[in-house]
Amino acid sequence: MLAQQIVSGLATGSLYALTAIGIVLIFRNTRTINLAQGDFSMIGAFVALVILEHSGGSLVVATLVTIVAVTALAVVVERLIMRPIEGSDWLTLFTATLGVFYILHGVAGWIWGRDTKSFPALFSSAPLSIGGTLISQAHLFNILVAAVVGGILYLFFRFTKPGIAMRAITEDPVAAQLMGIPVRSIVLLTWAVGGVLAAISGILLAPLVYVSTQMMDGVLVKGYVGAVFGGLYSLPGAVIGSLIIGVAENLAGGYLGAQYKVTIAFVLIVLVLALKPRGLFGGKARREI
Amino acid sequence: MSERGWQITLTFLAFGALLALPAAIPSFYASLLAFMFTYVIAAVGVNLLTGYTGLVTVGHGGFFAIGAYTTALMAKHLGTSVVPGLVAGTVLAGIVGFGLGIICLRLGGAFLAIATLGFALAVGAVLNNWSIFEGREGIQLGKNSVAGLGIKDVGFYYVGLAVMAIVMLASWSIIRSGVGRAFVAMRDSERAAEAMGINLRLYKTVAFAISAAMTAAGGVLFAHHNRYVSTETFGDTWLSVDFLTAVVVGGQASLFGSALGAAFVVMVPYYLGELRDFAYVLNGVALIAVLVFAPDGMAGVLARLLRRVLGRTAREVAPVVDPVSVGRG
Repeated sequence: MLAQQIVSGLATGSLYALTAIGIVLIFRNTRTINLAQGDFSMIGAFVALVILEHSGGSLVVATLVTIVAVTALAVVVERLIMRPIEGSDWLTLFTATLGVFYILHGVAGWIWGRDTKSFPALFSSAPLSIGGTLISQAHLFNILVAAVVGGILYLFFRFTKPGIAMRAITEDPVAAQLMGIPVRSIVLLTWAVGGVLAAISGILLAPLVYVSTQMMDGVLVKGYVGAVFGGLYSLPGAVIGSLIIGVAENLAGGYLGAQYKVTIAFVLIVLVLALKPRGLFGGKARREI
Repeated sequence: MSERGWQITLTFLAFGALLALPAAIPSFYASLLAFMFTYVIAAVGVNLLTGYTGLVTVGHGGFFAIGAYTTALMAKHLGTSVVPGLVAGTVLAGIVGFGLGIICLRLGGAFLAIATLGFALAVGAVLNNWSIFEGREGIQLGKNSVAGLGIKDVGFYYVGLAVMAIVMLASWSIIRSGVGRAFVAMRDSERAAEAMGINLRLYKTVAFAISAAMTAAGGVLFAHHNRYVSTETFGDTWLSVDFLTAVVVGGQASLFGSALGAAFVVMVPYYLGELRDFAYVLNGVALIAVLVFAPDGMAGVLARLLRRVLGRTAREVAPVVDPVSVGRG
């Protein structure tokens, strides 16, 4: 029972992690708490649904088109809305993403309506048994995808020039610029990566929750809590934070009662912040916010 | 007249106009404006904490809810109306705000935003799960009265206006006092403030308590205005987000800005309401437009306009010949 709860908690947590990583990536390079991250996923889920209907159910085509579409959306948001106010304080940037949130909610509702739509399940519902613990194929797949994405990001930040440039901007934007790093292009790339992550999490979530304009609202908040848990600057921290939230939620739901499932994340985050004000992996205090 | 003199004159003119307004408009609009006043009161509270003290809160919907449910429960079980609710609601929220301030003492920036968001969601969860609060069923409030006299839309408008004036005056006095200067000093640099002998722990928790009490006053009036409270309104975080948006859009560290911002978050969705999804889009576009074209908020734009007008009148009184423009002419 306990192992069961933990495994499905890890599966939920790995979905939160995809959102949390997107939030941390964009935040640490632009100081923007991106409220629209969830809506990128939501738009992605709708796009995937449309493509699936029109391409005869090819999941590969749908995934690729969705990734391209959501990445383009993220890039447009950066260029049209965030770049003109890039020098503002973080509260203004945050409120601007709230504007994007309203716009994307409105556009999605306008095009696709307010009804929830079901997304075809990617896997059969028969669970697999691993060492006596049952795990659904979809959950296993989500964990695997999140792990692969995490691995690719690790390699990207460790070995590629754009990845190292992104880390340099996180450390010190002015010094990065002086070293000849094209900060604006890299920031644009950061948003694009955020878009790719959002697209993937949208497609993974779509079969689990019905596709609707509000499908991501809960996940978005959990993603934030996960990101803050890990200190807002640390990618491994965001992943671990999200996994903790996912497991804690499932344990609370299983042992304390369903009504505690929603609140446990916030009780945890308030406790963690009261004891460690910069999150679990926050490290030294940073001055910019 | 100095710029400060103009500000005070214009404030008195604005309140005078608001006093006379119900005579000129249908009572329906008086009711809508009274609804807006509750948001203005809440935004003034949020602005004291976020604009003046620099502590960003995404949780003041929780204090709004504390005010609303305090008065709703009192009305239901004790049969009280607006004034006792205001007293009890603001005191209770002040105490809770003080407690939240202690928990959040070491937090700043985005971390504080998430912690306060957690507070708002926790309040929502309590309201949803404890049977005394009636969850989605909600609590009905009786007819409104002040000092035993029943009031209707226009009467309630004046109650709202009076509370708004009191809260604004209180905020104005605090900001101009040593306490307010301590708030601003903490916002500009915590270390410098501490070096000047400001007790950060004391002033931060006090800022939280006062701001929470003010926002709760808005919540009390909100409950009496709708004469109904339920988790439909208070169960999620949209109120908190609206108040913060009002402060950012209207102008941080500006009382007039709080009023303008609250008008924005109430009136824009109200008038766009019938457009459904398209309303969301326009609301978002309006929000972003204000941020792009008026980074210091709507109050900042008006202040610049006022300065320009004043500059022009000053020149009319004493024309100054600008040698450069003469040379060009």
